[in-house]
Amino acid sequence: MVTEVKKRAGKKRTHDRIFFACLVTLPLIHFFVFYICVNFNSILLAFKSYNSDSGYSWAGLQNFKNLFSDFGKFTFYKKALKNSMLVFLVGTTVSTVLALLFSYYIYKKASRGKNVFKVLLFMPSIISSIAMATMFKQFADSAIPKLIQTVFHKEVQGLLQNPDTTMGAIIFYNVWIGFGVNILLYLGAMNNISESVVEAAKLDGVTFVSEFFKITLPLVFGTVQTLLVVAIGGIFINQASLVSFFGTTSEEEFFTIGYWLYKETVKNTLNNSNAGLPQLSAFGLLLTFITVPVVYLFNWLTKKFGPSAE
Amino acid sequence: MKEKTKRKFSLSPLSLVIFVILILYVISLLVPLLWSLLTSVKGRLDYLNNPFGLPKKWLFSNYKTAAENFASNISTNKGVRTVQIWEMLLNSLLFSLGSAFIGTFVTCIMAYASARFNFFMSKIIYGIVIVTMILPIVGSLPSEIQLVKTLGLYDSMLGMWLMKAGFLGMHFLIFYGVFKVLPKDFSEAAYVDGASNLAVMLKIILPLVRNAFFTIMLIKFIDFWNDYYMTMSFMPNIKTLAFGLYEYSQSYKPAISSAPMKLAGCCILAVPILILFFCFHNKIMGNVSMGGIKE
Repeated sequence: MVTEVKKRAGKKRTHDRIFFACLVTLPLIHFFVFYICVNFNSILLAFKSYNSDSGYSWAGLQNFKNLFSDFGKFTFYKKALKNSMLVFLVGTTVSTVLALLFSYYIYKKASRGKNVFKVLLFMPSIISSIAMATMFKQFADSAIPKLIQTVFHKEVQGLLQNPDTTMGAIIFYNVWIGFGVNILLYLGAMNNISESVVEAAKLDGVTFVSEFFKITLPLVFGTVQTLLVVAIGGIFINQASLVSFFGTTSEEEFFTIGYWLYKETVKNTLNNSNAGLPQLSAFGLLLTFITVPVVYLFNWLTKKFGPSAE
Repeated sequence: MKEKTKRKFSLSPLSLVIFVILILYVISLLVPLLWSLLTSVKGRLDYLNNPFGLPKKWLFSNYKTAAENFASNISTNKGVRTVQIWEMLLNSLLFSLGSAFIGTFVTCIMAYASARFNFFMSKIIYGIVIVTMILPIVGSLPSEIQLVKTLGLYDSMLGMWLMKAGFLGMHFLIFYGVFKVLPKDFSEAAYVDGASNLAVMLKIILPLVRNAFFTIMLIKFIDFWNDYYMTMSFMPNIKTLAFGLYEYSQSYKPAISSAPMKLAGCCILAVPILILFFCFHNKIMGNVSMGGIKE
């Protein structure tokens, strides 16, 4: 009897194994091809060069040498690096602070209008980035100058047309459009805070401000940390909506690293020219080597020194 | 007690300041959208003389002109061909629906296998998802394009569906959470009755998670509908509406160079998705939170 049960369990286990293998094999092959092979190929590509006659050949560290030499020669690398850091620092700081404040307000106060706020704040994420950016561009370049002319009788250029205000307008747009979703994520985390913790704090006479710093922030810090890690990981990927605003013809002054990498890749692909791809891969590899330790260091630091839920 | 504390909080000047800034932010989101909708039905002169008021004459014909000017040329084996907006709409639907369905299905199946079968590989799959989410890889697009071209998937709808048939990302974790908390009673009763693993999955488990499946598929559909980077990078000759709008917004054609015409083009892409969002916002926003999906 016991042997029969064991046999049946063994048979079930074998069937489970076969079924499990059937389910996961194709997706794992997909992962191998589109993640492992892509990234492995990216590393190989960084050490190759392309010639239209002979195709790809091994180039050793030449792409990296060219990259460092170009860094000294062309100013746009430094500008792109500066803009990427600016978009990240201003964008992340303002977005995180405002998103936390707004979500805390909705969590504590706006119990009746919560759903309306949620829908309105989520709306920009639903509309295509190209449609949103075009609407903003028309508003900033056409409507705002007309408004200023009507009210102040003063002729001004559009915010995205005037080189002095373009970068500011780009950063403003990215913050304005970007933190609605973060509010929803923080709000979700705040709603998970146990009611008994909040009630106990209230009995201790906690105020609106002290409750935020002593109870809410430590308990949602995991979500804050995750979103910050994602933001740091995206420093050199972020195109700051430049493709949506200017296509592939943005002025060099406003380049970000992410925009430049994307623009050059698309340009090479559409022209069927592979010559530029190895150096772009080398640049990507270099940036990955910079970003990975920064992300892990930040993760470690915030875990060690960030607010604790205890 | 709670009400008393709430009333006490209401008097805080800081909360009042936050409330005012929040309202200003929400208004700032709504104003450009409403302005765009109104401007999209104005004439060029009407807009120049009256950029903020109601249209003197509601020119819905702007949408017809915009739709006609979405047309774009592509190169085929037989030469250059013009793609009209209807073909772009069809491409958008095929790309968004196909990619959303296959992406959601594969993610759901992988999460099911990983959450419900206690094998060593299940833990590996979960680990793969977590590691790839926190590993920031920059600049792999050239390699991806090269690989897609080598595999013969470049500039092909089937190729795009295949590319999107992956399981990595946040949605895997949402499905994983759903399957982990789903009671095992139904499936175990079915196993006792002699049901196979496939029958249990198709007839019992998948119907139980249909809400989560629909919600994630809807979110993916909206993402793909709005995505023009994929068309730009991987299928330049299969133009979608989003890519059509990208070309339209960058175009200097006199017929569509005015603000009302540019905005009419934006509305063609944005309005259908906004309608979809308002119809299903409870499903999209009510079901999904950072912790998972409520069934």
